[in-house]
Amino acid sequence: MDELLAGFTSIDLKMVIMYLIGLTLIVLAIKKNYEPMLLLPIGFGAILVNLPQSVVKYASIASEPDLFVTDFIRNNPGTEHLFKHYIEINGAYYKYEPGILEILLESGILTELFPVLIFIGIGAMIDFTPLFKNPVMIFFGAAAQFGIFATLLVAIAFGFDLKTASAIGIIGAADGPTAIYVASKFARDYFGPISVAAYSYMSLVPIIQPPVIRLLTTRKERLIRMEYREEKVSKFVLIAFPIAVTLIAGIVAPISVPLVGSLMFGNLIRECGVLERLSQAAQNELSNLVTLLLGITIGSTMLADNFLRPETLLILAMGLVAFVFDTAGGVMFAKFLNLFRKKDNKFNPMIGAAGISAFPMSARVIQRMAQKEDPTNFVLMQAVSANVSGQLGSIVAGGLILALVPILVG
Amino acid sequence: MLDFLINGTDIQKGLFVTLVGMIGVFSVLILFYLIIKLFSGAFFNTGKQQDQGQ
Repeated sequence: MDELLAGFTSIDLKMVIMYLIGLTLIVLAIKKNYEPMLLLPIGFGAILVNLPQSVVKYASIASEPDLFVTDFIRNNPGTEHLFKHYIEINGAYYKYEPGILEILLESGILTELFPVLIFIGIGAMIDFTPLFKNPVMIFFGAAAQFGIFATLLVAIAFGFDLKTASAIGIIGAADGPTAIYVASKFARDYFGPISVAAYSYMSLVPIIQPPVIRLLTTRKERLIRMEYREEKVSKFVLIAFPIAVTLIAGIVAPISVPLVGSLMFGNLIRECGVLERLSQAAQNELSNLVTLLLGITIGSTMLADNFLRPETLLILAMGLVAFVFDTAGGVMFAKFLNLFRKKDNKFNPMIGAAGISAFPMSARVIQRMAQKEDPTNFVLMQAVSANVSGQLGSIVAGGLILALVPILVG
Repeated sequence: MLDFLINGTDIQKGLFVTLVGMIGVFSVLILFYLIIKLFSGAFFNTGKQQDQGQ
């Protein structure tokens, strides 16, 4: 009888809170259209993994604890990671068979396979042509990464160690796969909150960016018009660029190659002109399938005991800080450059805010703001150029963090 | 220098990552900018000539 009622008797308040969080994410996805492709699977995954006995995470758990493993870990604290597929219950360690979501987590995220596959799809979707027509916009893609590093420092000030702080800072990359990639290497304990923050704030770009931009710019600055060069870009440039970028990234920060290489591989497939079917497959089938699995797998990391702790709230708050600093970094950099430019050739500082990686949402936000001030002002192409640069800047920043932090931590 | 940092506090390490990180991102993107400029100078005209030829 007890076994029949186990589902009811094992529900606790934390689980109920997680169901509410999962439902909130689903409602935000459906009602508000906030990154529905990810927030809905994440929300559902959060509910699934917190159901009684978490069968999707632990297919079966041994009825008796493993005494050797329990004694070993008790005598050697901090060695839990040496024992795969063991779960701690009341101080004892039990062996378990992984459930479907745990298998997906181990094979898709901890191996970094899903972020890399997603990047192939993103690469196949990116058109670098606007950037080639406005190459100077690439610098906004660098300036708007300021939020990553500023948030890293804020996280350290709040007591997080360097690795975890780096993974929290990378929320500011405004780039889900990069955040997942770095978090899976540096902060597996906080993987759930970091992933949720990264995707939630990306969807909130239209709400976060405008007030920050308005605060840092005058109306006169927001009215600045920018010239757009309509030039034809040769096919050779489009093909050679992803190859050159991969080579440079591989030499400067070899650890970033899985990210940069897969992004550029996807882009090469798109631009080469002879792999239309593969390009379409990467943009559609591959991206959709991996996104679907990625979302529900991220949700599976949101076990109540891991997620419901004060650090989660801190991480969510710092994610917001990261996006604010990103936006401010881009805008202030544009204003700084304007000090050295001729009166009739200044940047509209709002363009700087589009240097984040949230593509194409940020570019659209900037265009909407520009047209709100002056319906005849058209800055979309410049904003898209900065936005595409943000894609490059965020993975370069991610790669540098992945390269630098292990050297310092040892 | 690195020995000092390895034994330093997290905030010192964080400042180092911030400084080197931002300089690094700008440096790499400057390289990308130069590549685009190089390719543009060398090949934009070729593209235009091809267009005119067509």
